[in-house]
Amino acid sequence: MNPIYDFEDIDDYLHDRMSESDQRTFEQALETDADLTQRVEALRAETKVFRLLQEEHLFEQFAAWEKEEEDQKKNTLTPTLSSGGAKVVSIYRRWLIPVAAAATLAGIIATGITLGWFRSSADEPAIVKTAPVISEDTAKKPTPALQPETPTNIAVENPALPPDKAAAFYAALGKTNYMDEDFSGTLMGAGHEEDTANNYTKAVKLYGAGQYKAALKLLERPDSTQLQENLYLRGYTYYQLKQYAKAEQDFRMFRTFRISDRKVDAIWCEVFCLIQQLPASRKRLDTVLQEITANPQHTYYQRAQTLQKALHK
Amino acid sequence: MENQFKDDKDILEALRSGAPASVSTALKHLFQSDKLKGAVRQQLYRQKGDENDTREILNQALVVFFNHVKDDKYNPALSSITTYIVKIAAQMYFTKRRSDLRRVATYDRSMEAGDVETATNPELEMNLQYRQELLEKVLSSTGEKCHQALKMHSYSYSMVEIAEKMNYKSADVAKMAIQDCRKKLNKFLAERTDLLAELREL
Repeated sequence: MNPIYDFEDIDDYLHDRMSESDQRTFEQALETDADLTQRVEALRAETKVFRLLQEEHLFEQFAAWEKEEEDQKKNTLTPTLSSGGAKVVSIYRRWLIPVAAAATLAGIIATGITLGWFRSSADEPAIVKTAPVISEDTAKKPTPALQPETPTNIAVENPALPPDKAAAFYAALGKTNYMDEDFSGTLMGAGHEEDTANNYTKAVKLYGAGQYKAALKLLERPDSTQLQENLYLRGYTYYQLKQYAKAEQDFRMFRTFRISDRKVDAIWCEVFCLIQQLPASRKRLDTVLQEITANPQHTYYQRAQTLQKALHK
Repeated sequence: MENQFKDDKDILEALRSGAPASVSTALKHLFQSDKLKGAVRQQLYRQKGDENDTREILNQALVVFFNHVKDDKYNPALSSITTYIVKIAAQMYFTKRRSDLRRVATYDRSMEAGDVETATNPELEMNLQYRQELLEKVLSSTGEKCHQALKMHSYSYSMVEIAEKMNYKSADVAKMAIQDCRKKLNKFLAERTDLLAELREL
C-alpha cells in the first residue's frame, strides 16, 4: 500500500481537486503502484454503488406511495353492506350515494303509499307488479350458464318479503353495490394527444357533465380500435339512463374478449345492473355471484359473498 | 392530487434539480399519473400482462427514466415523458416475457409503442434481483447503518437531514460518519476485484 496517498487524496484526484503538479506525481505513482490503482478503481466504482443505492431508495419510495394509495382507497370505499373488496368512488361524488339512496327510498315509499302497495293482499304480488321487464337483448345474451327466469320464481323463493320492503331493499342494494367510475381520470385508449378529439374522448366529457343521452349518441357506433373503451363507457351511460338491460349486455360483452383490463370490473358491473332488474333477474344474478364466489382470489369475492348473504336473508 | 406540474418541462426541471424533495414530488406525480399507468397497462395487456405487472413494470420504467434524465440520455425534443416511459416499460416487459413469446406476431405487437428511441438496455437495466444482490454483497462489510447513511447521501440528502434521520448529533457528525462509511467501502472494494468487475459492467 502506498502510504503517501490516503482515501482523501484519491477522492481529490478523482474530483479534480489536485494541483497539476500533484496530479502528475499521483499519476506517476499509479503507474508503479498496483495497490493504489486498485483503490482508485474502487473509488471510481463508488458511483455505481451510489446508483444502486438510489434505485433502492426509489423502490422504497414507490412501496410507500403504493401503501399510501391503498390506505386512501380504504378510506374512500363505497359503502357496502359490510366490508369487502370495494372499488374507490370518486371523492367528489361520495356524498351523492347516501343522498341518492335516501331520495330513492323516500320516492319508493311515497309511490307505494299513493298506489296502495302497503295493502296486504296475497293474490296481488306487488313484486311481480313492480318487476322491470327483461329486455330481449339481455335475455338472449350468450352465456349458457344463465337461465331465463320468471318473477314467480322469486315470489316463491322469498314469499315472506312484503312487496314494498322488497322494492326498498332492492333499491338500497342497487345503490350500495354500484361502482362509480371517473372516466375523466383514466386513460383508456386515448393515449396520444391526437386522440383527444375522437368520439370516445368527447363522450367521456359529456358523461362527466351528466349529458348521458348526448354521450350515448357518440357511443352508439363504437370505433373498432377503441371497442372495449367504448363498450365500458356505454355500459355506464346506459346505466345512468336506467337502461339496465342494455348496460348489462355491454358489460357482458367483456366476457368474450380474450384480453381486457376491464374484464374483472365488468363482471361486477353486470352485478349492479342485475340488481337494478330484480326480482326478474334473480337467477342470473345468483349465477354471476356464484361464479365470483367460486374463486376466492376474485377481486370482488368478498363483495359478492356479502351480497349473496343479503339476498338470502 | 393537485397538479403541481404544468408540463413536461416542469417535471424535468424538478428531476434535474437533484433536490430530494423536488425529485420525489416529480416522481410521485408520474407514479400517480392515471394517464401514464393506463398507457403502460395497455401496452402490457397486449403482451398478456396483468395489473400486477403494470405496477411493477411501471415502477422499474420510472427508475430507468430517472437514470436517463440524470445521464442526459432523455431528449425531450424527441418524445414526451409519457411516451418515453411507456416505451421503456413495453421494452422491459417484452424482455421479461421474451422466453414465453414464441411468435413473431407477438413481437410485432409489443413494438407498437412507437418509434421512440429510449437508449434502454432492458436486460441489464431490469435485472433488479441481480442488482439488489450485488448491492448487498458490496455493502456487506459496511454494516446496516452505513448502508442507510450512504443511501441517503447518494440521494443528495443534506447532512442536516441525514443527521436528523439517522440520529447523529449534528451535521458534522453525519459528515464524518459518511466519510468513514465511504472509506470502509473503498477498502472492501479494493480487495474484491470480482465485485469491482461486476460493478464496472453495470
